[in-house]
Amino acid sequence: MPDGRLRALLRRLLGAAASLRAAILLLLLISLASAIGAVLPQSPTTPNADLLYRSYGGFWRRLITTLQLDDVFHSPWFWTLLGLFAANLALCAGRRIGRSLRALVRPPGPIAMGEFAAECVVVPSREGDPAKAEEAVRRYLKRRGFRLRNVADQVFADRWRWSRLSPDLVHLSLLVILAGALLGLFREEGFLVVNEKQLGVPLPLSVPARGATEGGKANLSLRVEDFGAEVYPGTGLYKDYWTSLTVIGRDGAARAALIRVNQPFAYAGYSFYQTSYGDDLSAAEILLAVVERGTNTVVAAAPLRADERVAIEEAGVEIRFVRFFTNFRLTDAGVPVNLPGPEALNPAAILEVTESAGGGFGGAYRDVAFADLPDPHWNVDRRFFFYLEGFFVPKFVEVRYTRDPGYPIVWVGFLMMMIGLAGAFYLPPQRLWVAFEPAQGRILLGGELGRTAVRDRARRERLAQALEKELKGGG
Amino acid sequence: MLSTQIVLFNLAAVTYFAGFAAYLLSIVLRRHRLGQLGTASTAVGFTAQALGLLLRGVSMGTLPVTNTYEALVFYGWVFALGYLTTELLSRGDRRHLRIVGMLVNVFACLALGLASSPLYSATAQPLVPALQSYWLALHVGFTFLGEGFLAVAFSSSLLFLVLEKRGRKQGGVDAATLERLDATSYKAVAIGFPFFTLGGLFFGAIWARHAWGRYWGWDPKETFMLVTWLVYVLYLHVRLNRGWRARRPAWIAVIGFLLALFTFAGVNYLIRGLHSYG
Repeated sequence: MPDGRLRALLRRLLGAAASLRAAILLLLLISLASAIGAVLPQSPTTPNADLLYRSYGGFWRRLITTLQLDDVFHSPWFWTLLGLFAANLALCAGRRIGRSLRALVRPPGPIAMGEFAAECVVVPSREGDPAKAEEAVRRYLKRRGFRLRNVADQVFADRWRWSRLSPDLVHLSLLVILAGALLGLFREEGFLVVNEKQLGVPLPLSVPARGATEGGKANLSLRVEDFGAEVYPGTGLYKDYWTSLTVIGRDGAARAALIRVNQPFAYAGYSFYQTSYGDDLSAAEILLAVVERGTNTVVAAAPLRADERVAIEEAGVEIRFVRFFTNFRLTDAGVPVNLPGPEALNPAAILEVTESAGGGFGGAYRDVAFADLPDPHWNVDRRFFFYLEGFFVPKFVEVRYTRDPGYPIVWVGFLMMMIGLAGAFYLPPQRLWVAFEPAQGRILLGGELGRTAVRDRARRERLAQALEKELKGGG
Repeated sequence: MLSTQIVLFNLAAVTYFAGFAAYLLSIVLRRHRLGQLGTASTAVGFTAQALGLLLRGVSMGTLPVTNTYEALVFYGWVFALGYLTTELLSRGDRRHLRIVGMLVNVFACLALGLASSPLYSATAQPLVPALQSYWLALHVGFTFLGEGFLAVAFSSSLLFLVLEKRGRKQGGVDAATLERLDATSYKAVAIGFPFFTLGGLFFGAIWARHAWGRYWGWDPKETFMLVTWLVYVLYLHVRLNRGWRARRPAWIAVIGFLLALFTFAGVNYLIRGLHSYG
């Protein structure tokens, strides 16, 4: 292909990529993709999303997984869309900013008579001194913050001219935010779940690689000294959670801090957040009593940890402690759930009981032992029932930590965006040409005072009225 | 204290309805005075509601937007605020604004009516730890403030579409009224969009970083906020750069506000995410 045609083709391609049409198309596609990602359960954040999609049937599951609609925001096609949008934005911004700067530095010339608007200022008296009228107009415009300049026989007045760059600032801000987000891909983050038994133990911060659940070590370790919660009196609702912690560097330097929800702590580039607090049900310990039904005699009692088994010879059963609940509830579907809260209102343990049959253990069944319900009156055909004589559930706290090299850049981008938006919408650049026609007893106004035709006209009418008043006053 | 607040909110609902009726009559009877009465009535409702919100805010020690009841009441209030500010900033012929005011008053009434329905309790609940931050007031307050103006843009655009369709079919619709409705829609978006961006995206991101350790996490509410924002970006670009006027931008403004409503209410009920409290 000859050089000229290739250049022309490249220019056309570049033009198309930098066009507003492409920007609109990309905005629509990104909006659509984001909406899909928000509506469909996403695999990284929804447990069992895959099981859900399996239930949709083969076709829909294949469609969703093939198009990566189950993980839109990490899919290559979504990032490609964002990349194309950034490229379009960079090209548009580059082209626009050049125009804006040229318009800023280029000295304004006079405008043709046909470009003056219909609205004009009627000078009150034809016999009035034209020089005085012009002076009054100049004085008024200066007072209103306009910068005046003579262009041929007209007066050019403008204000908020730097605001011409506001849309460019907004475009650049989006690029800066995207750059910060890109840098954020290299962020380090993780979390530590610590229960009461682990207080005072230094734990190394693990920083898993993207997509992994564990691995990697940061140069810091964390020691949780104490943690707790405050409760609204008489409500059973948490008011706040707090953690007293010490961050220890590799060189042994330590820094203590108290973190709360919404009050993180920053150290060595990392920020530490109080994210969760509650009962560590997986570490629950119970004291289980085996009671003979009818006589209500405790035939045996055994301490148990979660998932631990114990054989009770006296009752001829083997018991596995499956799960603990501080506030046991059954859903409408009969599924046991735990309602979290500061108090154990209905403690219960789910057990798997295997009865001995002829020397070995035979069929297993599930049972529930309660602390507040000595005999639950189910499995009534069984000889024994189970009762929680005691329990201990350690509290846990979750501390999240993150180091994101991109976020200061994102903040700069946001600040640029807000300055740009405020300039573009609240202080739009205004350019006014004023022509004096003493013979006709009028002053012509032209230029742009508003972004819409209606607003532009209304502002010019208002200015014309104000100038007439000024001229009358100056008499 | 609660009963005083409820009396003030009820008074606001009644005066918004009176404002709606006055605007309607001013259009039907072509009486300018009735339009002024409508604005006065809306202003009375706005003031009563502001007082009620102030009392509730003082008693709670934060901006009263901590549950659906309060959010609906506040939403109704920002509708009135958006409309009254737009009217205050409009010079010259304001007849077209009466129609917008009529619709905005209906929305404000609906928000208050829904809040006082048995679906929501007016009793203030203690704040969960995650919501105890001054960022709550900044994030929700500024987002809603922006949405108050976007509601005005929605009303103007909706009326534009209805009147324009009627004009095409039956005639008799003043072109100047359509032009003014179109301009009002742009003006409201131009005022509201920066607030919406500041509250929804900027303050939301700062708070998310404070509370969750990251400024963006593709949470459904965040994502729909972004989608809504992108739709308004589209509106501004097609208007300012592509020179679209009238029908097509009006449709975009309508879709944009419906998305804002979905982000506010729909996401909470239909999609579970980090913004679901309680």
